[in-house]
Amino acid sequence: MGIYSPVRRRLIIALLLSSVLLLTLDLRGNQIFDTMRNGFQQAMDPLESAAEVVSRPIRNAWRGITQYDDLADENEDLRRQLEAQRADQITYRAAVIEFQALLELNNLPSLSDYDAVTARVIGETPNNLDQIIEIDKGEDDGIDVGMAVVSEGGLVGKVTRVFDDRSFIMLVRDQRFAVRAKVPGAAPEEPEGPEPPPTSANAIPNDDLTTTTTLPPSTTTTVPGATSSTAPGGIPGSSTSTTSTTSTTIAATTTTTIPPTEKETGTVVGQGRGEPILLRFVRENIDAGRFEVGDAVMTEGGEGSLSPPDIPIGTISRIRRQSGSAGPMIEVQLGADLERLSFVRIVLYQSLEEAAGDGG
Amino acid sequence: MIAAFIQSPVFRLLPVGVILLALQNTLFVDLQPAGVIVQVLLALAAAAGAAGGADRGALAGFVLGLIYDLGTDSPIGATALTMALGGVVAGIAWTIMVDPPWWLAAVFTTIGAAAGELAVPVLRIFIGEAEAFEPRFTRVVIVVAIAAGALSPLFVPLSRWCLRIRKPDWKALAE
Repeated sequence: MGIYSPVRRRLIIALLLSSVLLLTLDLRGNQIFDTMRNGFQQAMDPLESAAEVVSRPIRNAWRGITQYDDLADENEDLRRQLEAQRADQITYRAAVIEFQALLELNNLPSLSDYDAVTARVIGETPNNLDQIIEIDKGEDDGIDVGMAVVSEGGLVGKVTRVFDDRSFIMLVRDQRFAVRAKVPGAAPEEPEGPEPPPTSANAIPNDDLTTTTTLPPSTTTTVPGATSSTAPGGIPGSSTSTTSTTSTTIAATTTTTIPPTEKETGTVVGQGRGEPILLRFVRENIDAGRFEVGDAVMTEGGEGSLSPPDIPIGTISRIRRQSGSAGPMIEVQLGADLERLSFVRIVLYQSLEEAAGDGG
Repeated sequence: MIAAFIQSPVFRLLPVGVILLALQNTLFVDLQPAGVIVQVLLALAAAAGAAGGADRGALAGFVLGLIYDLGTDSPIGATALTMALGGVVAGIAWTIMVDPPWWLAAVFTTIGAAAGELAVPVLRIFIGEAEAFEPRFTRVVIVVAIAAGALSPLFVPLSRWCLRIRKPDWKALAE
Protein backbone atom coordinates (compact mmCIF):
# COMPACT_ATOMS: atom_id res chain seq x y z
CA MET A 1 0.00 0.00 0.00
CA GLY A 2 2.97 2.29 -0.52
CA ILE A 3 1.01 3.96 -3.24
CA TYR A 4 -1.14 5.72 -0.68
CA SER A 5 1.43 7.74 1.16
CA PRO A 6 0.30 10.18 3.87
CA VAL A 7 0.86 13.06 1.44
CA ARG A 8 -1.51 11.54 -1.09
CA ARG A 9 -4.09 10.81 1.56
CA ARG A 10 -3.88 14.37 2.80
CA LEU A 11 -4.35 15.65 -0.72
CA ILE A 12 -7.50 13.56 -1.17
CA ILE A 13 -8.91 14.69 2.17
CA ALA A 14 -8.06 18.33 1.45
CA LEU A 15 -9.86 18.18 -1.92
CA LEU A 16 -12.95 16.59 -0.42
CA LEU A 17 -13.05 19.11 2.42
CA SER A 18 -12.57 21.97 -0.04
CA SER A 19 -15.60 20.73 -1.97
CA VAL A 20 -17.68 20.66 1.20
CA LEU A 21 -16.52 24.17 2.11
CA LEU A 22 -17.38 25.55 -1.33
CA LEU A 23 -20.74 23.82 -1.22
CA THR A 24 -21.54 25.29 2.18
CA LEU A 25 -20.57 28.78 1.07
CA ASP A 26 -22.65 28.53 -2.11
CA LEU A 27 -25.72 27.16 -0.34
CA ARG A 28 -25.61 30.04 2.12
CA GLY A 29 -25.79 32.42 -0.85
CA ASN A 30 -22.62 33.97 -2.12
CA GLN A 31 -22.55 36.92 -4.50
CA ILE A 32 -19.00 36.16 -5.61
CA PHE A 33 -19.97 32.66 -6.69
CA ASP A 34 -22.98 34.00 -8.60
CA THR A 35 -20.77 36.48 -10.42
CA MET A 36 -18.20 33.78 -11.19
CA ARG A 37 -20.89 31.44 -12.48
CA ASN A 38 -22.43 34.14 -14.65
CA GLY A 39 -19.04 35.11 -16.09
CA PHE A 40 -18.08 31.50 -16.74
CA GLN A 41 -21.35 30.75 -18.47
CA GLN A 42 -21.02 33.81 -20.67
CA ALA A 43 -17.50 32.73 -21.56
CA MET A 44 -18.82 29.27 -22.38
CA ASP A 45 -21.45 30.60 -24.81
CA PRO A 46 -19.26 30.79 -27.93
CA LEU A 47 -17.74 27.42 -27.14
CA GLU A 48 -21.16 25.82 -26.74
CA SER A 49 -22.33 27.40 -29.99
CA ALA A 50 -19.32 25.87 -31.72
CA ALA A 51 -19.97 22.51 -30.08
CA GLU A 52 -23.60 22.77 -31.17
CA VAL A 53 -22.57 23.25 -34.79
CA VAL A 54 -19.89 20.57 -34.75
CA SER A 55 -22.07 17.98 -33.04
CA ARG A 56 -25.22 18.62 -35.09
CA PRO A 57 -24.55 15.93 -37.72
CA ILE A 58 -23.86 13.37 -34.99
CA ARG A 59 -27.02 14.33 -33.13
CA ASN A 60 -29.09 14.19 -36.29
CA ALA A 61 -27.69 10.77 -37.14
CA TRP A 62 -28.42 9.53 -33.61
CA ARG A 63 -31.96 10.84 -33.75
CA GLY A 64 -32.40 9.26 -37.15
CA ILE A 65 -31.31 5.89 -35.78
CA THR A 66 -33.12 5.94 -32.45
CA GLN A 67 -36.24 7.96 -33.09
CA TYR A 68 -37.32 7.26 -36.66
CA ASP A 69 -40.02 4.72 -35.83
CA ASP A 70 -41.28 6.74 -32.89
CA LEU A 71 -41.46 9.87 -34.99
CA ALA A 72 -43.34 8.13 -37.79
CA ASP A 73 -45.90 6.76 -35.31
CA GLU A 74 -46.16 10.07 -33.54
CA ASN A 75 -46.68 11.87 -36.83
CA GLU A 76 -49.52 9.53 -37.69
CA ASP A 77 -51.05 10.01 -34.25
CA LEU A 78 -50.74 13.77 -34.44
CA ARG A 79 -52.48 13.88 -37.80
CA ARG A 80 -55.39 11.97 -36.35
CA GLN A 81 -55.52 14.17 -33.27
CA LEU A 82 -55.34 17.33 -35.33
CA GLU A 83 -58.30 16.23 -37.39
CA ALA A 84 -60.30 15.45 -34.27
CA GLN A 85 -59.35 18.66 -32.54
CA ARG A 86 -60.25 21.02 -35.35
CA ALA A 87 -63.91 20.74 -34.50
CA ASP A 88 -63.29 20.91 -30.75
CA GLN A 89 -61.18 24.00 -31.16
CA ILE A 90 -64.05 26.01 -32.56
CA THR A 91 -66.29 25.01 -29.67
CA TYR A 92 -63.63 25.66 -27.06
CA ARG A 93 -62.72 29.02 -28.55
CA ALA A 94 -66.31 30.16 -28.19
CA ALA A 95 -66.36 28.88 -24.62
CA VAL A 96 -63.14 30.68 -23.77
CA ILE A 97 -64.44 33.97 -25.15
CA GLU A 98 -67.58 33.53 -23.11
CA PHE A 99 -65.53 32.68 -20.02
CA GLN A 100 -63.30 35.74 -20.46
CA ALA A 101 -66.38 37.92 -20.86
CA LEU A 102 -67.82 36.50 -17.65
CA LEU A 103 -64.58 37.10 -15.75
CA GLU A 104 -64.47 40.64 -17.04
CA LEU A 105 -68.08 41.17 -16.12
CA ASN A 106 -67.38 40.07 -12.57
CA ASN A 107 -64.07 41.96 -12.33
CA LEU A 108 -62.17 38.71 -11.84
CA PRO A 109 -58.58 38.38 -13.03
CA SER A 110 -57.83 36.12 -15.97
CA LEU A 111 -54.55 34.82 -17.38
CA SER A 112 -54.65 37.30 -20.24
CA ASP A 113 -54.48 40.15 -17.72
CA TYR A 114 -50.86 39.36 -16.91
CA ASP A 115 -47.98 40.49 -19.04
CA ALA A 116 -45.72 37.79 -20.37
CA VAL A 117 -42.26 37.62 -21.86
CA THR A 118 -41.43 35.19 -24.62
CA ALA A 119 -38.00 33.59 -24.34
CA ARG A 120 -35.97 31.08 -26.29
CA VAL A 121 -34.74 27.89 -24.67
CA ILE A 122 -30.96 27.91 -24.99
CA GLY A 123 -29.90 25.02 -22.84
CA GLU A 124 -30.78 22.08 -20.69
CA THR A 125 -29.14 20.83 -17.54
CA PRO A 126 -26.75 18.03 -18.46
CA ASN A 127 -27.25 15.87 -15.38
CA ASN A 128 -29.77 13.12 -14.77
CA LEU A 129 -31.30 14.44 -11.57
CA ASP A 130 -32.31 18.03 -12.22
CA GLN A 131 -34.92 18.92 -14.81
CA ILE A 132 -33.85 22.45 -15.57
CA ILE A 133 -33.70 24.47 -18.77
CA GLU A 134 -32.01 27.76 -19.51
CA ILE A 135 -33.66 30.66 -21.35
CA ASP A 136 -32.25 33.77 -22.97
CA LYS A 137 -34.20 36.34 -20.93
CA GLY A 138 -33.54 37.49 -17.39
CA GLU A 139 -33.90 40.26 -14.89
CA ASP A 140 -33.55 42.92 -17.60
CA ASP A 141 -36.88 41.75 -19.01
CA GLY A 142 -38.68 41.80 -15.68
CA ILE A 143 -38.28 38.12 -14.88
CA ASP A 144 -38.06 37.20 -11.22
CA VAL A 145 -37.59 34.01 -9.25
CA GLY A 146 -40.81 32.04 -8.80
CA MET A 147 -42.63 33.25 -11.90
CA ALA A 148 -44.63 30.66 -13.79
CA VAL A 149 -43.45 29.55 -17.21
CA VAL A 150 -45.88 28.33 -19.84
CA SER A 151 -45.92 27.09 -23.39
CA GLU A 152 -48.84 26.70 -25.76
CA GLY A 153 -49.68 23.40 -24.10
CA GLY A 154 -49.81 24.78 -20.57
CA LEU A 155 -47.60 25.03 -17.51
CA VAL A 156 -43.93 24.23 -18.11
CA GLY A 157 -42.29 25.14 -14.81
CA LYS A 158 -41.11 28.03 -12.71
CA VAL A 159 -38.15 30.37 -12.65
CA THR A 160 -35.57 29.29 -10.09
CA ARG A 161 -32.54 31.46 -10.77
CA VAL A 162 -32.25 34.76 -12.62
CA PHE A 163 -29.28 36.58 -14.08
CA ASP A 164 -29.39 39.82 -16.07
CA ASP A 165 -29.88 38.22 -19.45
CA ARG A 166 -30.63 34.57 -18.71
CA SER A 167 -32.68 32.49 -16.33
CA PHE A 168 -33.03 28.90 -15.22
CA ILE A 169 -36.42 27.22 -15.26
CA MET A 170 -37.26 24.20 -13.16
CA LEU A 171 -39.56 21.98 -15.20
CA VAL A 172 -42.79 20.55 -13.81
CA ARG A 173 -41.31 17.05 -13.90
CA ASP A 174 -38.46 17.94 -11.52
CA GLN A 175 -38.77 16.13 -8.22
CA ARG A 176 -38.50 19.40 -6.32
CA PHE A 177 -41.34 21.04 -8.25
CA ALA A 178 -44.69 21.52 -6.55
CA VAL A 179 -47.60 23.80 -7.34
CA ARG A 180 -51.11 24.07 -5.94
CA ALA A 181 -53.56 22.74 -8.48
CA LYS A 182 -57.26 22.21 -8.89
CA VAL A 183 -59.56 20.02 -10.87
CA PRO A 184 -62.31 22.46 -11.73
CA GLY A 185 -65.88 21.42 -12.31
CA ALA A 186 -65.49 17.80 -11.35
CA ALA A 187 -68.62 15.86 -12.23
CA PRO A 188 -70.85 15.06 -9.25
CA GLU A 189 -71.01 11.45 -8.22
CA GLU A 190 -74.41 9.83 -8.62
CA PRO A 191 -75.82 9.40 -5.15
CA GLU A 192 -76.85 5.91 -4.23
CA GLY A 193 -80.29 5.17 -2.80
CA PRO A 194 -83.43 7.08 -3.57
CA GLU A 195 -83.82 8.61 -6.97
CA PRO A 196 -82.91 12.26 -7.18
CA PRO A 197 -85.84 14.63 -7.34
CA PRO A 198 -87.15 15.19 -10.83
CA THR A 199 -85.93 18.19 -12.69
CA SER A 200 -88.70 19.81 -14.54
CA ALA A 201 -90.70 22.96 -14.71
CA ASN A 202 -92.77 21.66 -11.81
CA ALA A 203 -89.87 20.82 -9.56
CA ILE A 204 -89.35 22.77 -6.38
CA PRO A 205 -86.49 25.09 -7.11
CA ASN A 206 -83.41 24.78 -4.92
CA ASP A 207 -81.44 27.99 -4.78
CA ASP A 208 -78.13 26.19 -4.57
CA LEU A 209 -78.58 23.80 -7.35
CA THR A 210 -80.98 25.34 -9.83
CA THR A 211 -81.26 28.35 -11.95
CA THR A 212 -84.44 29.52 -13.50
CA THR A 213 -84.38 30.80 -17.01
CA THR A 214 -87.39 32.65 -18.25
CA LEU A 215 -87.57 33.26 -21.92
CA PRO A 216 -89.59 36.18 -23.25
CA PRO A 217 -93.23 35.31 -23.00
CA SER A 218 -93.65 34.79 -26.68
CA THR A 219 -91.74 34.82 -29.86
CA THR A 220 -93.64 35.16 -33.05
CA THR A 221 -91.95 34.41 -36.29
CA THR A 222 -93.76 35.14 -39.47
CA VAL A 223 -92.10 34.13 -42.64
CA PRO A 224 -94.22 34.54 -45.71
CA GLY A 225 -94.17 31.44 -47.74
CA ALA A 226 -91.51 29.61 -45.81
CA THR A 227 -90.93 28.10 -42.42
CA SER A 228 -87.44 27.76 -41.15
CA SER A 229 -87.13 24.82 -38.87
CA THR A 230 -84.03 23.55 -37.22
CA ALA A 231 -83.91 20.14 -35.75
CA PRO A 232 -81.94 19.63 -32.57
CA GLY A 233 -78.41 19.10 -33.56
CA GLY A 234 -79.12 20.07 -37.11
CA ILE A 235 -77.40 22.69 -39.14
CA PRO A 236 -78.90 26.10 -38.51
CA GLY A 237 -80.34 27.63 -41.63
CA SER A 238 -81.47 24.51 -43.37
CA SER A 239 -85.07 25.08 -44.34
CA THR A 240 -88.10 23.46 -45.83
CA SER A 241 -90.45 25.44 -47.99
CA THR A 242 -94.15 25.46 -47.43
CA THR A 243 -96.86 27.41 -49.08
CA SER A 244 -98.50 28.76 -45.98
CA THR A 245 -97.71 31.42 -43.46
CA THR A 246 -97.13 30.07 -40.01
CA SER A 247 -96.70 31.61 -36.64
CA THR A 248 -94.58 29.99 -33.99
CA THR A 249 -95.14 30.95 -30.43
CA ILE A 250 -92.81 29.94 -27.67
CA ALA A 251 -93.88 30.74 -24.20
CA ALA A 252 -91.84 28.94 -21.69
CA THR A 253 -90.49 29.15 -18.22
CA THR A 254 -87.93 26.43 -17.80
CA THR A 255 -86.09 25.32 -14.73
CA THR A 256 -82.69 23.83 -15.43
CA THR A 257 -80.61 21.96 -12.94
CA ILE A 258 -76.94 22.84 -13.19
CA PRO A 259 -74.49 20.40 -11.64
CA PRO A 260 -72.49 21.91 -8.80
CA THR A 261 -69.16 22.93 -10.30
CA GLU A 262 -67.03 22.18 -7.30
CA LYS A 263 -63.30 22.07 -7.50
CA GLU A 264 -60.89 19.69 -5.87
CA THR A 265 -57.52 21.00 -4.88
CA GLY A 266 -54.20 19.30 -4.39
CA THR A 267 -50.55 19.69 -5.25
CA VAL A 268 -48.98 18.78 -8.55
CA VAL A 269 -45.50 17.34 -8.06
CA GLY A 270 -42.88 16.07 -10.48
CA GLN A 271 -41.12 12.72 -10.20
CA GLY A 272 -38.27 13.07 -12.63
CA ARG A 273 -37.78 12.47 -16.33
CA GLY A 274 -39.91 9.75 -17.83
CA GLU A 275 -42.11 9.47 -14.74
CA PRO A 276 -45.70 10.66 -14.51
CA ILE A 277 -46.62 13.94 -12.88
CA LEU A 278 -48.71 13.39 -9.75
CA LEU A 279 -51.59 15.29 -8.24
CA ARG A 280 -51.29 14.61 -4.53
CA PHE A 281 -52.84 15.60 -1.24
CA VAL A 282 -56.32 15.58 -2.68
CA ARG A 283 -58.71 15.36 0.21
CA GLU A 284 -59.96 11.86 0.84
CA ASN A 285 -63.72 11.78 0.71
CA ILE A 286 -66.48 10.72 -1.57
CA ASP A 287 -65.76 13.65 -3.87
CA ALA A 288 -62.54 12.00 -4.98
CA GLY A 289 -64.67 9.41 -6.65
CA ARG A 290 -65.80 12.03 -9.06
CA PHE A 291 -62.46 12.38 -10.73
CA GLU A 292 -62.39 10.92 -14.15
CA VAL A 293 -59.63 10.25 -16.57
CA GLY A 294 -59.51 13.19 -18.92
CA ASP A 295 -60.50 15.86 -16.37
CA ALA A 296 -58.53 19.07 -16.72
CA VAL A 297 -55.98 20.04 -14.05
CA MET A 298 -55.17 23.72 -13.62
CA THR A 299 -53.17 25.91 -11.28
CA GLU A 300 -55.12 27.09 -8.29
CA GLY A 301 -53.46 30.44 -7.73
CA GLY A 302 -54.37 32.38 -4.65
CA GLU A 303 -52.47 34.67 -2.34
CA GLY A 304 -49.80 32.22 -1.30
CA SER A 305 -49.21 30.65 -4.70
CA LEU A 306 -46.40 31.77 -6.95
CA SER A 307 -48.50 30.91 -9.96
CA PRO A 308 -51.58 32.76 -11.17
CA PRO A 309 -54.82 30.77 -11.29
CA ASP A 310 -56.18 28.84 -14.24
CA ILE A 311 -53.03 27.96 -16.11
CA PRO A 312 -53.75 24.58 -17.68
CA ILE A 313 -51.36 21.90 -16.42
CA GLY A 314 -52.76 18.84 -18.15
CA THR A 315 -55.39 16.17 -17.86
CA ILE A 316 -55.87 13.27 -15.50
CA SER A 317 -54.46 10.16 -17.13
CA ARG A 318 -54.76 7.62 -14.31
CA ILE A 319 -56.28 7.40 -10.86
CA ARG A 320 -54.77 5.07 -8.28
CA ARG A 321 -56.73 4.68 -5.12
CA GLN A 322 -54.78 3.84 -2.00
CA SER A 323 -55.77 2.44 1.29
CA GLY A 324 -55.40 4.54 4.40
CA SER A 325 -55.64 8.28 4.55
CA ALA A 326 -53.16 9.07 1.84
CA GLY A 327 -55.85 9.95 -0.66
CA PRO A 328 -55.95 8.93 -4.28
CA MET A 329 -52.79 9.13 -6.34
CA ILE A 330 -53.67 10.88 -9.55
CA GLU A 331 -51.37 10.82 -12.55
CA VAL A 332 -51.48 13.85 -14.79
CA GLN A 333 -50.64 13.93 -18.48
CA LEU A 334 -48.95 17.26 -19.06
CA GLY A 335 -50.38 19.54 -21.72
CA ALA A 336 -46.95 20.93 -22.58
CA ASP A 337 -44.44 18.79 -24.44
CA LEU A 338 -41.33 19.21 -22.33
CA GLU A 339 -39.17 17.26 -24.76
CA ARG A 340 -39.60 19.79 -27.54
CA LEU A 341 -39.45 23.18 -25.92
CA SER A 342 -38.05 25.89 -28.17
CA PHE A 343 -39.87 28.94 -26.88
CA VAL A 344 -41.62 29.54 -23.58
CA ARG A 345 -43.54 32.41 -22.04
CA ILE A 346 -42.84 33.71 -18.57
CA VAL A 347 -45.95 35.09 -16.90
CA LEU A 348 -44.91 38.28 -15.15
CA TYR A 349 -47.05 37.58 -12.14
CA GLN A 350 -46.14 37.91 -8.53
CA SER A 351 -48.39 36.73 -5.78
CA LEU A 352 -49.62 39.28 -3.29
CA GLU A 353 -47.35 37.85 -0.60
CA GLU A 354 -44.36 38.00 -2.91
CA ALA A 355 -45.15 41.53 -4.04
CA ALA A 356 -45.61 42.64 -0.43
CA GLY A 357 -42.25 41.09 0.41
CA ASP A 358 -40.57 43.01 -2.40
CA GLY A 359 -42.17 46.20 -1.35
CA GLY A 360 -41.10 46.09 2.22
CA MET B 1 4.25 31.10 -10.26
CA ILE B 2 2.90 31.13 -13.80
CA ALA B 3 5.53 28.60 -14.81
CA ALA B 4 4.49 26.39 -11.90
CA PHE B 5 0.88 26.62 -12.95
CA ILE B 6 1.75 25.73 -16.53
CA GLN B 7 3.66 22.73 -15.28
CA SER B 8 0.86 21.67 -12.95
CA PRO B 9 -1.53 18.85 -13.88
CA VAL B 10 -4.48 21.25 -13.76
CA PHE B 11 -3.21 23.34 -16.66
CA ARG B 12 -4.09 20.78 -19.33
CA LEU B 13 -7.16 19.58 -17.50
CA LEU B 14 -8.88 22.97 -17.63
CA PRO B 15 -9.23 23.34 -21.42
CA VAL B 16 -10.08 19.66 -21.82
CA GLY B 17 -12.74 19.99 -19.11
CA VAL B 18 -14.22 23.11 -20.71
CA ILE B 19 -14.42 21.42 -24.13
CA LEU B 20 -16.00 18.34 -22.59
CA LEU B 21 -18.51 20.52 -20.73
CA ALA B 22 -19.48 22.19 -24.00
CA LEU B 23 -20.02 18.74 -25.52
CA GLN B 24 -21.88 17.62 -22.39
CA ASN B 25 -24.26 20.58 -22.68
CA THR B 26 -24.91 20.07 -26.38
CA LEU B 27 -24.13 16.65 -27.82
CA PHE B 28 -24.63 14.45 -24.78
CA VAL B 29 -27.84 16.12 -23.71
CA ASP B 30 -29.29 14.78 -26.95
CA LEU B 31 -27.54 11.44 -27.12
CA GLN B 32 -29.39 9.62 -24.39
CA PRO B 33 -28.98 5.85 -24.40
CA ALA B 34 -32.02 4.41 -22.56
CA GLY B 35 -33.11 7.95 -21.75
CA VAL B 36 -30.07 8.68 -19.60
CA ILE B 37 -27.58 11.51 -20.09
CA VAL B 38 -24.06 10.13 -20.25
CA GLN B 39 -21.73 11.98 -17.86
CA VAL B 40 -18.51 12.53 -19.79
CA LEU B 41 -16.79 14.68 -17.20
CA LEU B 42 -17.43 12.07 -14.54
CA ALA B 43 -16.10 9.44 -16.95
CA LEU B 44 -12.90 11.45 -17.39
CA ALA B 45 -12.51 11.88 -13.63
CA ALA B 46 -12.96 8.14 -13.08
CA ALA B 47 -10.56 7.37 -15.94
CA ALA B 48 -8.00 9.67 -14.32
CA GLY B 49 -8.38 7.69 -11.11
CA ALA B 50 -7.95 4.40 -12.91
CA ALA B 51 -4.94 5.74 -14.81
CA GLY B 52 -3.15 7.63 -12.08
CA GLY B 53 -4.40 6.50 -8.69
CA ALA B 54 -6.81 7.85 -6.12
CA ASP B 55 -5.07 11.19 -5.53
CA ARG B 56 -4.96 12.08 -9.22
CA GLY B 57 -8.51 10.86 -9.62
CA ALA B 58 -9.58 13.11 -6.75
CA LEU B 59 -7.74 16.08 -8.23
CA ALA B 60 -9.21 15.53 -11.70
CA GLY B 61 -12.67 15.00 -10.22
CA PHE B 62 -12.42 18.17 -8.14
CA VAL B 63 -11.32 20.34 -11.06
CA LEU B 64 -13.78 18.85 -13.57
CA GLY B 65 -16.57 19.03 -11.01
CA LEU B 66 -15.89 22.70 -10.37
CA ILE B 67 -16.01 23.37 -14.11
CA TYR B 68 -19.31 21.49 -14.24
CA ASP B 69 -20.76 23.39 -11.28
CA LEU B 70 -19.76 26.74 -12.75
CA GLY B 71 -21.24 25.85 -16.13
CA THR B 72 -24.55 24.55 -14.84
CA ASP B 73 -27.03 25.42 -12.12
CA SER B 74 -25.78 22.91 -9.56
CA PRO B 75 -24.39 24.27 -6.26
CA ILE B 76 -20.66 24.97 -6.49
CA GLY B 77 -18.75 22.14 -4.85
CA ALA B 78 -21.55 19.57 -5.16
CA THR B 79 -20.37 17.98 -8.40
CA ALA B 80 -16.74 18.60 -7.43
CA LEU B 81 -17.32 16.42 -4.38
CA THR B 82 -19.13 13.60 -6.20
CA MET B 83 -16.66 13.54 -9.09
CA ALA B 84 -13.72 13.57 -6.70
CA LEU B 85 -15.28 10.58 -4.95
CA GLY B 86 -15.67 8.86 -8.32
CA GLY B 87 -11.99 9.48 -9.05
CA VAL B 88 -10.93 8.15 -5.65
CA VAL B 89 -13.00 4.98 -6.03
CA ALA B 90 -11.63 4.37 -9.54
CA GLY B 91 -8.15 4.81 -8.07
CA ILE B 92 -8.62 1.61 -6.10
CA ALA B 93 -7.41 -0.06 -9.29
CA TRP B 94 -3.94 0.96 -8.22
CA THR B 95 -4.14 -1.09 -5.06
CA ILE B 96 -4.43 -4.14 -7.32
CA MET B 97 -1.99 -3.21 -10.03
CA VAL B 98 -0.02 -0.16 -11.02
CA ASP B 99 -0.33 0.51 -14.74
CA PRO B 100 -3.42 -1.67 -15.10
CA PRO B 101 -4.20 -3.08 -18.54
CA TRP B 102 -6.91 -1.32 -20.55
CA TRP B 103 -9.66 -3.72 -19.58
CA LEU B 104 -8.93 -3.40 -15.87
CA ALA B 105 -8.82 0.37 -16.21
CA ALA B 106 -12.21 0.15 -17.95
CA VAL B 107 -13.61 -1.95 -15.12
CA PHE B 108 -12.44 0.53 -12.48
CA THR B 109 -13.59 3.50 -14.53
CA THR B 110 -17.01 1.86 -14.58
CA ILE B 111 -16.96 1.33 -10.82
CA GLY B 112 -15.72 4.86 -10.17
CA ALA B 113 -18.37 6.41 -12.40
CA ALA B 114 -21.08 4.36 -10.69
CA ALA B 115 -19.85 5.54 -7.29
CA GLY B 116 -19.75 9.16 -8.46
CA GLU B 117 -23.28 9.03 -9.88
CA LEU B 118 -24.56 7.23 -6.80
CA ALA B 119 -23.09 9.97 -4.62
CA VAL B 120 -25.17 12.67 -6.34
CA PRO B 121 -28.55 11.92 -4.70
CA VAL B 122 -26.85 10.98 -1.43
CA LEU B 123 -25.30 14.44 -1.35
CA ARG B 124 -28.63 16.01 -2.29
CA ILE B 125 -30.18 14.38 0.76
CA PHE B 126 -27.41 15.82 2.93
CA ILE B 127 -28.10 19.31 1.62
CA GLY B 128 -31.78 19.02 2.40
CA GLU B 129 -33.60 17.67 -0.63
CA ALA B 130 -36.42 15.41 0.44
CA GLU B 131 -36.78 13.07 -2.51
CA ALA B 132 -33.45 12.95 -4.27
CA PHE B 133 -33.71 9.36 -5.51
CA GLU B 134 -35.69 9.07 -8.73
CA PRO B 135 -37.57 5.85 -9.43
CA ARG B 136 -35.37 5.28 -12.48
CA PHE B 137 -32.16 5.93 -10.59
CA THR B 138 -30.83 2.37 -10.85
CA ARG B 139 -31.03 2.61 -14.63
CA VAL B 140 -29.27 5.98 -14.53
CA VAL B 141 -26.35 4.61 -12.52
CA ILE B 142 -25.99 1.53 -14.72
CA VAL B 143 -26.04 3.47 -17.99
CA VAL B 144 -23.68 6.19 -16.75
CA ALA B 145 -21.24 3.55 -15.44
CA ILE B 146 -21.30 1.42 -18.59
CA ALA B 147 -20.87 4.49 -20.79
CA ALA B 148 -17.87 5.57 -18.71
CA GLY B 149 -16.38 2.10 -19.10
CA ALA B 150 -16.94 2.24 -22.84
CA LEU B 151 -15.27 5.64 -23.05
CA SER B 152 -12.29 4.59 -20.92
CA PRO B 153 -10.05 3.40 -23.83
CA LEU B 154 -10.25 7.01 -25.01
CA PHE B 155 -10.32 8.75 -21.67
CA VAL B 156 -7.56 6.85 -19.87
CA PRO B 157 -4.87 8.01 -22.35
CA LEU B 158 -6.46 11.47 -22.38
CA SER B 159 -6.29 11.72 -18.60
CA ARG B 160 -2.67 10.52 -18.67
CA TRP B 161 -1.88 13.33 -21.04
CA CYS B 162 -3.83 15.89 -18.98
CA LEU B 163 -2.26 14.90 -15.68
CA ARG B 164 1.21 14.37 -17.20
CA ILE B 165 1.40 10.76 -16.06
CA ARG B 166 4.45 9.53 -17.89
CA LYS B 167 5.19 5.91 -18.52
CA PRO B 168 8.50 5.82 -16.62
CA ASP B 169 6.64 7.10 -13.54
CA TRP B 170 4.25 4.20 -13.51
CA LYS B 171 7.03 1.71 -14.02
CA ALA B 172 9.03 3.30 -11.23
CA LEU B 173 6.10 3.06 -8.89
CA ALA B 174 5.47 -0.53 -9.91
CA GLU B 175 9.06 -1.42 -9.20
